[in-house]
Amino acid sequence: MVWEARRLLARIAAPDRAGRALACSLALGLLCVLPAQAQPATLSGFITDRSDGQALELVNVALLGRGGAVEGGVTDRDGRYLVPRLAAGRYVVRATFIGYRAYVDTLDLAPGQVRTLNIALVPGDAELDEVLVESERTSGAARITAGQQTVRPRDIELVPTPDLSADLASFLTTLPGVVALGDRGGQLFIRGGEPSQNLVLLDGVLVYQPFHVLGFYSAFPADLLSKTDVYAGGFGSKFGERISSVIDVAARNGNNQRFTGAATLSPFVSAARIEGPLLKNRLSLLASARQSLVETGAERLVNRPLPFSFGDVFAKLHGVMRANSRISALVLRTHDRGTLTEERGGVPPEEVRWNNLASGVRFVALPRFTPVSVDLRASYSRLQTELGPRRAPVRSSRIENLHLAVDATFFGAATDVDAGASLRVVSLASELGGLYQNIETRREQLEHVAVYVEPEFNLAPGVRLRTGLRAQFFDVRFDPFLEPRVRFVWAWGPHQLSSAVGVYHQAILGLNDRRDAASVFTVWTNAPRPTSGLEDVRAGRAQRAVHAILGYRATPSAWLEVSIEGFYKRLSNLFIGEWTAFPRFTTRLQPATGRSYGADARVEVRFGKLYGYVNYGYSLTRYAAEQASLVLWYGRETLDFHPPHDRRHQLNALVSSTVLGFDVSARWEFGSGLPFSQAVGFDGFTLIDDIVKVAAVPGSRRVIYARPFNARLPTYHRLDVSVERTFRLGAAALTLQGSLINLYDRRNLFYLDVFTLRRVDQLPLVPSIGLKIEYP
Amino acid sequence: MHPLPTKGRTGGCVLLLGALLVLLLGGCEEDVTAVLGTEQPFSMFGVLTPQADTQWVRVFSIDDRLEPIPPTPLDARFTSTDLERDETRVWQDSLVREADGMLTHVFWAPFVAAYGRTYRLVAQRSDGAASHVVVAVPPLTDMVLPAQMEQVPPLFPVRVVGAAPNLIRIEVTYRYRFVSPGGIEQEEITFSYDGRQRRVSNGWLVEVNVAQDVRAIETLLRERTAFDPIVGVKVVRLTIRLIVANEAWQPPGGRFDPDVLVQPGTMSNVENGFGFVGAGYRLERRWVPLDTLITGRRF
Repeated sequence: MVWEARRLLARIAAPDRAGRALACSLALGLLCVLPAQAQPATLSGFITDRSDGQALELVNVALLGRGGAVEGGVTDRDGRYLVPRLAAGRYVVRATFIGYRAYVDTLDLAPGQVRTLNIALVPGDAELDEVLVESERTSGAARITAGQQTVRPRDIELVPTPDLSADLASFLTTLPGVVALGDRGGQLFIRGGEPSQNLVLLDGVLVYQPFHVLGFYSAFPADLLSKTDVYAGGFGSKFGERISSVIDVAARNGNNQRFTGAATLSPFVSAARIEGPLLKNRLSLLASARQSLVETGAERLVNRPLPFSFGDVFAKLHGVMRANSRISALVLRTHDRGTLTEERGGVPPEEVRWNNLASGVRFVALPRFTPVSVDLRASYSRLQTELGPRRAPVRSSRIENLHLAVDATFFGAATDVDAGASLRVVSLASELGGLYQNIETRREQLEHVAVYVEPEFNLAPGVRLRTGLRAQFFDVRFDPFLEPRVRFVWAWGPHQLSSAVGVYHQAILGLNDRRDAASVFTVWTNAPRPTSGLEDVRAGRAQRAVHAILGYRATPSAWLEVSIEGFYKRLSNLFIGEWTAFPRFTTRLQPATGRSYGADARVEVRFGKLYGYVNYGYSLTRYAAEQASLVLWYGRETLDFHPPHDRRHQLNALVSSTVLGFDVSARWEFGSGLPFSQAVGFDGFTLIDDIVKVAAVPGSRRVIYARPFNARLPTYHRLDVSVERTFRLGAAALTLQGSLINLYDRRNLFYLDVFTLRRVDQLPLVPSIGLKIEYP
Repeated sequence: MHPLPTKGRTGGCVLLLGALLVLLLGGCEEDVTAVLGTEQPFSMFGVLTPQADTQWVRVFSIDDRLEPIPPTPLDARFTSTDLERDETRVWQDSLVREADGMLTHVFWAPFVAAYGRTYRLVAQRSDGAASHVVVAVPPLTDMVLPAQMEQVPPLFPVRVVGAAPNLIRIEVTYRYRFVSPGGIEQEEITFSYDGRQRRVSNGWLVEVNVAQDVRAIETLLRERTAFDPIVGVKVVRLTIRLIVANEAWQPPGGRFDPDVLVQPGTMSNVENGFGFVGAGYRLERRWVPLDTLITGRRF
């Protein structure tokens, strides 16, 4: 850690180009927020919902001064606002938010005063007209800004699932550009990226594999969430260490006014949630637990084995330390177990298991000495994955990390500056074995340090420019990996043009045996370090991506929103499992480059009680592998292929309405076939390198492939429908739901083991009922 | 003017359309072809050598799925024919259990492959499909060490005299002694001379650079132990071993890398099938080098 800090200081002080760029960015960021006014006052605070203490995001805080001058700010996801550079004097403070009564008060600010004003808004009638409501809306299927989309719990609840435990995972699969392998496996590929290239954060805590083995579910049920920001690319400098996407989940706080709870039951999962004040107005608890019932419930409904078990436990404490600071702590545990194949020919099925542990402490504050908001985090997370028999797994992988981070926002007049630093210590261990493979064991410990600065310039009304620079220090080399990033938004009337460009690096690799049509076991390893002995062309290079996004969005009327967005990702220094005809998992890496490009088109309609959207995504992903043997095998130095997540066409349609008091939702999804490698046949191999008696030489089985990823799996499509209604039972509410998953019983392929021809299909037609009871 | 449809009729039409759509979508099932299959029946791996009284070849059937080989006879008749004498032998099947428990078929025949002869090996399935390979055994050659007067430091010329088509696995092994804190120790080290042979008028020439190899040994010893460089190393014995191989036995790039050679078709000489059957024999000579060679100094 000390070495890393020295390295960082040395780099900033270094007279080379990288050091100068970093120093200049830091200086520029600070210059942007230097006060230009003598003894300005500052107003800041937290805004919450009075009924339950939840932080309210996007509340407008306006200060009306003498002469009609208006200053203002908007709350962030923690409900924080800060209005800097105020002249001393009397102000009328007005805080407004949809669905809440406006807060109006008068206050006097003395010269240089830093005043904390916390506001608890009272739920009530909105005083805003419809047009304003539309402009304030921040989520929705077509509401995408330069790759970023905000997801609210209500958006999630509209997607039909086999139970009432609405889950973020179900929603994510409706997004164009998000490719799931089906209703099991727990892997998401976002705009050409691999699952291991997605950064999934829960209140800033890294969660490695949050998606459960049954694809409807993740560790994020909707009723625990405040909001989720999904960055399909082009994400800002605050995020790093991954090159594809960011799923930034914010858990809500427990109710700090009264105890409430809920329980759900269905043939798929049972869940319970409880929340309430441990100290009223000061300390709240939110706790949840879920356990799958698939093996005992859903299995009977479909009359076929569904050997899946999963569950998660979540708890969050949120406390008010002082008027200007909050602290929270969370812990999340998940477990998954599933048998992805079926027994055939005496070959036992392989069971995959994984469990996550994620825990963290977060402290947010609005210091009184300067117009800045601070976010301090410490976290630990871990993922353990195994494949094979429970007591003797043939493959296992473990990754864990300890993370310390600080983020700060410096508020200026027309410019806010985000800056931060983080240290992550990562440990890796893997043991790989198999029916046709020797045991291979690896252990690594890595330290990642990062600093960033990202000012946001409000150039004109509706025109915002965010320019960031992140310096990422990985173990693979001394020099930092510099990551300049830009996000630009230009909104005028109902139109919005947005764009993002950025550079991203990742040193941790998640390797899958992609020769399987739908492999889910991932082993975590790292980019090779430089060695003094042998020259290794891969050493010292981290995976790199350059993103470019350009999007247009229009809201021509209150009921219609359309958007179109194109993206391009150039990938380099990718390390993918070396191509081999040995039927074994390998962590021998081969370098590769890649590119992914495509476009999304979305139409969203809100018409009375009718809500619906259609989105279409086109994407093309291509890798070029660089393996020395390729010249011998194929006569070319590089091998161009479409990786197994290259879904060319994707269509999602959702319609939801209320009919005769019933909430009805239907969703149809379509995906074109994914690439896979056909085999010509299977034989064996013996190395003939000596005058040997071949009976005494060990042999191996071998796959005779046609050509890597030369074919495509069948198309995938499915229709899901759900109907639900809520009944009041005194203070409690009972919701009943009926659903049909895969209504027309499409036989969608989930897993195809090319080695053994074992095929496992996704869920057939599944009728399901669920109930949920909430109190109060 | 057409009458407007009633609400009931509209609902019925929607339901009917929906049902049709469901039937249509549900009916268009797609199968996936994971294994294309091949007419090629077998893969074969082995070496014919005049230095053994029994010849062995491992035979794999090319299957449409990857499953453990069952403990039953392979549906194959394996023969070898001496193309000069037109003599055909039928080989015996045997099941061998690998270290990991897997079974594999190894065919064998009790004969000595003759120098300079060519054999045709055929594995034929009961339906007539066959894989075959023609294997030429290199003619007899000899390894000749130089007379003392030919030993011009630092090179020690070793000749393979005769019509050897190819040399592979050329290895020079040094047995040496050195003084360490623990006393006098003796070790062996092997250097690869692959790719350092060259054709000459009467065969092949391999020039062993003893002085360079000894310097490499001393460097290794310095890195590893408290080796005394003043005393140096004393080479007790040199051994040169190589394989006189047929033309086909040449790995791409000169290296026997299993991760490269495993790719079907790489260094393969089996027709209508996969695999490689080579032919060759070992030559080996030992000698004690002169000190002038070790130091690299001329007389």
